[in-house]
Amino acid sequence: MAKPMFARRLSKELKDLAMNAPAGVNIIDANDFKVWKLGLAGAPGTLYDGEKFQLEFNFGPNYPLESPQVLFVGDNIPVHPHIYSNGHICLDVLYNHWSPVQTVASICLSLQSMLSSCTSKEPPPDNATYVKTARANPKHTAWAFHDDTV
Amino acid sequence: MTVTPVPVPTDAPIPTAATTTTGAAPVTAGAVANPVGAVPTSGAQGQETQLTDEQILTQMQAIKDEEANAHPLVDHSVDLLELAQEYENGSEAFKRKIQNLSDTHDRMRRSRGDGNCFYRAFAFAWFERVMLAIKSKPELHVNAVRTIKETKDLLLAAQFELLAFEDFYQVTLETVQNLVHFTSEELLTAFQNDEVSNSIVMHFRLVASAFLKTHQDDYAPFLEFGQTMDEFCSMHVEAMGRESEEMMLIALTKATHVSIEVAYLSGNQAADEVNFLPFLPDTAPYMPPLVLLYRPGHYDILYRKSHCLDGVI
Repeated sequence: MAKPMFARRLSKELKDLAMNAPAGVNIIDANDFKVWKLGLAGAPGTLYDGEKFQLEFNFGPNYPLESPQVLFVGDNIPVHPHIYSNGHICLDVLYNHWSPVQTVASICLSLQSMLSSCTSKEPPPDNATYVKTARANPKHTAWAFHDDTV
Repeated sequence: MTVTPVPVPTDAPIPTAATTTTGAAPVTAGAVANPVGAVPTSGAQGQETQLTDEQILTQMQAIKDEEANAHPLVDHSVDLLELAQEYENGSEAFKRKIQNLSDTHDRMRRSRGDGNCFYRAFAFAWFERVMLAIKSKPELHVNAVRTIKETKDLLLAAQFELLAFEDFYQVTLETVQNLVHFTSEELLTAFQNDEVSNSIVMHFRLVASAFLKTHQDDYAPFLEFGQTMDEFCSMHVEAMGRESEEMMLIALTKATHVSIEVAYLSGNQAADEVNFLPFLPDTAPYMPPLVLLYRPGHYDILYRKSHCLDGVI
């Protein structure tokens, strides 16, 4: 086991993404196994049709046993009830429901379906307070989730 | 599952439990035990200093290291009667039961109480059994290697992505193959190594999950109303640190054809004897059951006295 697990896993994921990335997902920058930047396009026929977003993945040495840090970055952050204007995303699989069976590609798909099912482009109700007090790393937030149909 | 954020970072001060002891690292204690427990601080109001994310990570790592030194993932085995000392000033029922248990069992081995204790105890107990019998009963090793190889097909049948599970599978398979030349000390070292040990735990979690998913008709009736097997597995089986219930024990037993007996050590005053609950595979067991000791919320490994073992090792 010459390569540490996160490197082995990420090199496989990178190869897979390069060859069969999900529709609307493209690699912008993945030159190391620490930080990746991916492009995510709003799906046709949804409120985000035609919009382009950027996602940043930060991987720790315990990936994939521990979740990566995932946020929207750049100048176009999706306006969505589960996405804060600082790019933080309220999605359970990124935090307490993380499982190593998730991959970068599967997270992109989850985020795309979260955008696609949105019926009204509104920021989270507590956006202003959250953005003022949150840390840079969304994993240091005490996320609380409850089911919703939004 | 879709989720809505409930208002999150508040101006509430850090939980007191974490601040009292050292006064240094407010955020970490909860964060290590449970990722949801991390509480963001609200800017530096008064005495609380705002830590950088970098500092938080360093402190979290320090706490993990300390925990690792105090409680290895899997510990050396100890005399069962050492367990009784834990209850010296405690429950008479526990002491009596341990005393009775010691008629047929002489040693125990602790598995760290990190929510993965069942899977880790199961894997270690099984692999150790195989390793100790490598000369006398080499067929146990042949069976174990074949069984682990079969789990790959089970995981694929349950629609797990090869890319997402093959590293855990590979580490597990290599560990089993290495049992041919492992010493007891080497096996313990492997299980005390984070990457190896957690990969094996993860693999067995996925095996249990895959078994439940491919046998939904049998097990879905046991789920809470409205919950699907996929939801149950992703929340309770596939995520590290989630404690196991009987359904996971049944699933793992059947998927690996390894039987388990769980000794339930409860504080129930009415009984003097420890209750044993067997978990049997569908096929005829080819070796005596692994024995686990259950105390409310936690599993460790028990060792049955050799004359009670049908001479397997």
